[in-house]
Amino acid sequence: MRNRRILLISFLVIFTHQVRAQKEVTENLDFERIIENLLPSQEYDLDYNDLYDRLFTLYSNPLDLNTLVRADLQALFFLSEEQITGIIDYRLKYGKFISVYELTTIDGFDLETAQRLIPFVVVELNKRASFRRNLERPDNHEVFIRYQTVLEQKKGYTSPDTTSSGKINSRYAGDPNRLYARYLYSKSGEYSFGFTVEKDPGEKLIWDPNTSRYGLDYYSFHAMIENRWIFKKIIIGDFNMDYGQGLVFGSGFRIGKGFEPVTTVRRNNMGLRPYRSVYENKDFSGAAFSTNLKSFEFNGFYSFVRRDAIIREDSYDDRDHFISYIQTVGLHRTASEINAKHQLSDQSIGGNINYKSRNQKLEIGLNGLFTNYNVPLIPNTKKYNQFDFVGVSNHLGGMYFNYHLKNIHAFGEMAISKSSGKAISTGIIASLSSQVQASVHYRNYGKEYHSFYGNAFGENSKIGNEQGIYWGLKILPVPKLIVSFYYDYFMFPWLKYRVNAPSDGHDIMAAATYAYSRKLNFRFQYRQKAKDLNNKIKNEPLVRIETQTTKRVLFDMKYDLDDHFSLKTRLQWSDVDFAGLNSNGFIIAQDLNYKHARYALSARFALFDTDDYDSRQYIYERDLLYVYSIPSFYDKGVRYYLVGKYVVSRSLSFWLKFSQTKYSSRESIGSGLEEINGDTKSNIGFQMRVRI
Amino acid sequence: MKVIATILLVFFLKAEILYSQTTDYNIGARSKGVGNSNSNIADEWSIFNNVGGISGVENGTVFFSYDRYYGIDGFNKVAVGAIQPIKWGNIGASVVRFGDELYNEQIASAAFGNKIGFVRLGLRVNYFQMRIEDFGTAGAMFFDLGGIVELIPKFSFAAYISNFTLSELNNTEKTKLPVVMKAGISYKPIETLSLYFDIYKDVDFDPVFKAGIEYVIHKVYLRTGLNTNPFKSFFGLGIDLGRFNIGYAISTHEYLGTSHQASVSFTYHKKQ
Repeated sequence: MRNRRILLISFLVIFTHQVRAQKEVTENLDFERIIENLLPSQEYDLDYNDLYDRLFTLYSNPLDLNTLVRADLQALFFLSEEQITGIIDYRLKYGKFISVYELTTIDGFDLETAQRLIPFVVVELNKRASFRRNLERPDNHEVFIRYQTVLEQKKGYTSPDTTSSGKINSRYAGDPNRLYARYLYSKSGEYSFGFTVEKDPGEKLIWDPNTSRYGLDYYSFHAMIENRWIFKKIIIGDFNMDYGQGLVFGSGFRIGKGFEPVTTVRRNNMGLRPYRSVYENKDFSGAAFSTNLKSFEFNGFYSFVRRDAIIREDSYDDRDHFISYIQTVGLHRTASEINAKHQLSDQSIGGNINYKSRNQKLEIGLNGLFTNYNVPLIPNTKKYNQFDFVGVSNHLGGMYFNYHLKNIHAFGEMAISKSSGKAISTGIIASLSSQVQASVHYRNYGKEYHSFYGNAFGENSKIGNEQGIYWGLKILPVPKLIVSFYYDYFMFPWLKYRVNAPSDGHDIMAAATYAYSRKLNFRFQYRQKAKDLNNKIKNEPLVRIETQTTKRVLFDMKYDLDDHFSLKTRLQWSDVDFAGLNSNGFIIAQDLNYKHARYALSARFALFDTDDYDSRQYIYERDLLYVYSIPSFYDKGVRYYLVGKYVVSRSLSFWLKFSQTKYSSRESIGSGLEEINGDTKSNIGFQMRVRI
Repeated sequence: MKVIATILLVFFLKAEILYSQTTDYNIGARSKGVGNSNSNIADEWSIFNNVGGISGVENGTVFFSYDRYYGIDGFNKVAVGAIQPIKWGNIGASVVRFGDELYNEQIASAAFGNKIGFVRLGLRVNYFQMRIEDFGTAGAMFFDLGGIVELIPKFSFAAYISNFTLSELNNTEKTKLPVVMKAGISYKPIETLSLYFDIYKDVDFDPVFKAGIEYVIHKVYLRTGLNTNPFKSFFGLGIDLGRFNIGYAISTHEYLGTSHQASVSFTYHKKQ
């Protein structure tokens, strides 16, 4: 074994350098493929930018095979328990890795999986240099500048008209351009410094401290130092925390149910991380530290964040100042949005203790979080939200565990909040054989449970009022074929928004991917989701609850013509049944991709035809690097885009995208201030990266 | 009063208890642990679940099973049986009883099964009897037929028909006994792991999809499964103690609640 290993390595170390050089150019395209295969591609309006950004951060800051821990590998989602255990055990048995190509000799690794993992890992052979020396040699030192706009004029940018009562209608304060810039100076495992600035469409460039507007609309920064002095991490600025199954700390990102049915039920102990996204509802901003003491790890932080909310006064009830909800979209375009900016201050103190056994098989931890607002949050009382949080402060605590036995991973977290509401999330992931992986997950989130920063597996967007059980199964029955299934049954013991009764539903998926050859790939997916919704009928006093069943089918085929050209055809179909009405939607898209040493081009032409909004079609689109795009289309029309990348030199790259949607028979697109007069909507985007 | 209450219950829960189960009983904690996706399982419990599988029994075996549904008194099921390999195949006999003295059903069966090449086939002859206190007794003969095909390595396919004679009870209403078909596929990538998928169709009800996994680790069997229409989840545990095989399973129904099943088999005669 040892001999074979040395032979292999001496041969491969030389090879590694060539691969590194190649990665530079093709990174965008290979990464797109990974992302596309991982994410749920047919549904959800969720913002995946944060997740995309995180995976990309991993991709551009590869993990060191000799220091990484289980959670790091789990976060990649495509590795099975058997493979993760294989890497950890290999390191215990044979000592440090000398090359990433040793992966191919580990039990449970085929060439394909190894190739998939290699972009995300490195082997650091050199001894750790001094901080000053490392500071001079960052992995990443780059500036991103992005500009995006819509060419057609939206109603919000026209001159204001008056309503019938003579009031002047509101309009957007600024121009329709989106501006974004980001600076990053980092070395993986050592430090990361960076800031992000942004202006959304409709926001004005203005210096006005009275409304908390300082030039651009959004600023975020972080400074992190790793593995120095007694600290594992120290972060000043914006950060996230992830421990346990997301009941207490969940940092706004969840992969959800998708093509990958097994490993996505688990959340990983990713710990403290700097926050670099532009999603404006960030979790924490302040100071945080992490330190190790033998088998224990301690994390603590203080955070102060200003959030958007309208402070209301209600003299009748003797409540002077309160808010009824927190605005999370981060848009400050109209007078009322501007008035709400940064009106609520949120102070949080949080901590975590994590114990890990020497062999990394057992992990137990405690989470605690205390949050205090400057004014009480008192929602407008409705029947469905009567168990929601009311008050100025909340505290919650949780206990979690991870246990690895052979190829089985059991995990779970239990938590309780100030209101005595309880939540539990627990499951098992098992590599039953090298062909079969399976998972079972159970969740029970009490309706009184309140967690502001949690984000756990489930159907609801916030944790609470939900019970469910999930099975996931992934089978590789013959080479090149992957078959996956999941079944999720969920139940909401209390009313929900637009559901005036306790309700239940299910979500089923069956999918297959088949790689006929290296050049030709097929993919098929069927999804069926049933859930209850209100059905209001005219002249009937009671609202009826009926089941809405949505079926979605996806088929795509990818074909590489040669080293430069590739084609992709995608078909999607949906069928929605609700209260005796049926609607269908369809989209067909043809992509042509071209890549060359220095530039890459991707073009799409798509036709869509849907009966209504419910049968709308979500389809993944290529975009500027770091922009994750999965727009939805309804009605009839065509959609086409052209996106290009040009690498001028190692330090300078450009991206450009032009896209247009043309509807067959519409006189306007969108509603309210977003309305466009006409049947066409065009977007352009430009991006530049400078590596220093 | 108690009589009326029981009858009402039986009729309200008809889909679950009466019609779909009157002749087709899924028995054994192993079957229940994998969500009753049992058509491809060839063991002693096949005599109840797919008679085509009884040739999978290699040694003389007796077995016993007890079910309790939804914590309701009277919703119990007891089953006993025996299978003996003989020169021309396997023969077996079994009795199932559901209910209490107010309402009960019995099925007494005799079965024969054999493996010819890569096909397992089996036939079962049954006598069904239903008894409701103060109403009387009714009965009928019916027949089941089943088979399992092990055509390609790691995979097997199965089909099963219960009551292909379309039998009716000998009461005045001529109540029809249900006709049930099952078809399934199993995948066994390695010795310690089996996956089962079944489609179950009662002529009067929507088809049910059943799926299950069984995984063995040091002679301990871990099982889980699910059913659609209505939604049910299943979890089971089994221990192989040599001559004794013990199993337990729990299932939850989306509306009715939890049911339990325990079973034991004993190999009384080792064929040399």
